[in-house]
Amino acid sequence: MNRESFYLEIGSIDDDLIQEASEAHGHKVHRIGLIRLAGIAACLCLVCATVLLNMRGDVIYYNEAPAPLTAKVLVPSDETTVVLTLTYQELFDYYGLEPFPDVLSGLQRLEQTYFYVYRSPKDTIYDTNVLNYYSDDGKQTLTIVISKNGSEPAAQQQNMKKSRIDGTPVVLAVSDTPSGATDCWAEICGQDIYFRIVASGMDESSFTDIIREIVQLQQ
Amino acid sequence: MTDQTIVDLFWRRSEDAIQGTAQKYGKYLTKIAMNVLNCREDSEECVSDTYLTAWKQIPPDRPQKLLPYLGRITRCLALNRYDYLKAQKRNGEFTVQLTELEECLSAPDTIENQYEQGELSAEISVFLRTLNSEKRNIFIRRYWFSDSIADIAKRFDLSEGNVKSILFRLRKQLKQHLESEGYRI
Repeated sequence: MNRESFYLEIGSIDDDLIQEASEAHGHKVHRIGLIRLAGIAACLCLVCATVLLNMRGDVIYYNEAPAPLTAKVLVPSDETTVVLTLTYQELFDYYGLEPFPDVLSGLQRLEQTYFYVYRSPKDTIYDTNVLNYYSDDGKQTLTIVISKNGSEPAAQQQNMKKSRIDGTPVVLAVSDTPSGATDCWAEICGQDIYFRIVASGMDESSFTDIIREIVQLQQ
Repeated sequence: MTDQTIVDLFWRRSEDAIQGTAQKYGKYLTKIAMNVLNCREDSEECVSDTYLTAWKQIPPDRPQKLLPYLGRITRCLALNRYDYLKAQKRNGEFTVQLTELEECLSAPDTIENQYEQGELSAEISVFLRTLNSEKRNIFIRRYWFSDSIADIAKRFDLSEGNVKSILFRLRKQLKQHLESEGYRI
């Protein structure tokens, strides 16, 4: 058999094979699709990585604003109001938190015998409590206000710029006191717990470290 | 116009059959002829002869698919014309294709065995069905449609080197397949 005859033999292969080959194309379209898909996936990865890095990295910004005062709440003194007297451990059980350590960044917690929660027959009226820490020389003080019910975050009302510490949004601020010293303060709004931390005699860096420690305690 | 309609027109001896065929398959048949002859005038003549041959053969033929049916006629006519013209103006690309096909032959230019008409073609079809669709189509585009390597590479989004390499392996496999089935060609 010569090559021309063989060429003609190939000519007589099955019709369906010829029909299929007449319409056959490569995977160009699919490859372009894959390239596009890979591009989109790469962009998504980049966006996710950026978001994650932003979440993980700390963003510190100190606003300049006076520390908010604890809002006054008139607690009814009628017979229906119940006053719960709690120990330190019971207080943290009530808030659903791990108790804060007695020493926080070198500051000693002031011993307090009792804490209070006021309740009406229907719900809690007032549960704002204060923890006080101080340094041995008395030059540095730290006040931590904890509330589960009722305290409105002052920083949010003032539209202050938020910082982020260990992924937790925090408002940090500094304010000048009448004595000429500078106070640092912060607000942390957890899921349903509000913290306001005010420090005296402390620089911003040390205060940020304390806030980070408190944030980590909550996590 | 469907293939069936065109075939019916042939059977009714209507000249619209030629017009319908030219409209639907003219371009495709010209491409096949061009691949073999590499000459516009010769290719157009070859396609015209294809219509004439189809006119003579239908009836009695009643092809189910016109594309392979007409394509076979064009290939055959183009090959005859190629033989006739090759002394004057040889189409290098098609000559390369025929030379490639020689690799599948055990004893070129000898008639040692005679096979029933269509027997060898059927075995080639069997072989082609063992391949994946891309390889099968590349083979058919090269040796049935007589497409150039460059056209195949473009069609299948492959490099020319890749196509050559695939075809080389396929020719080798086809030869082995035919020999294993007892064909000595």
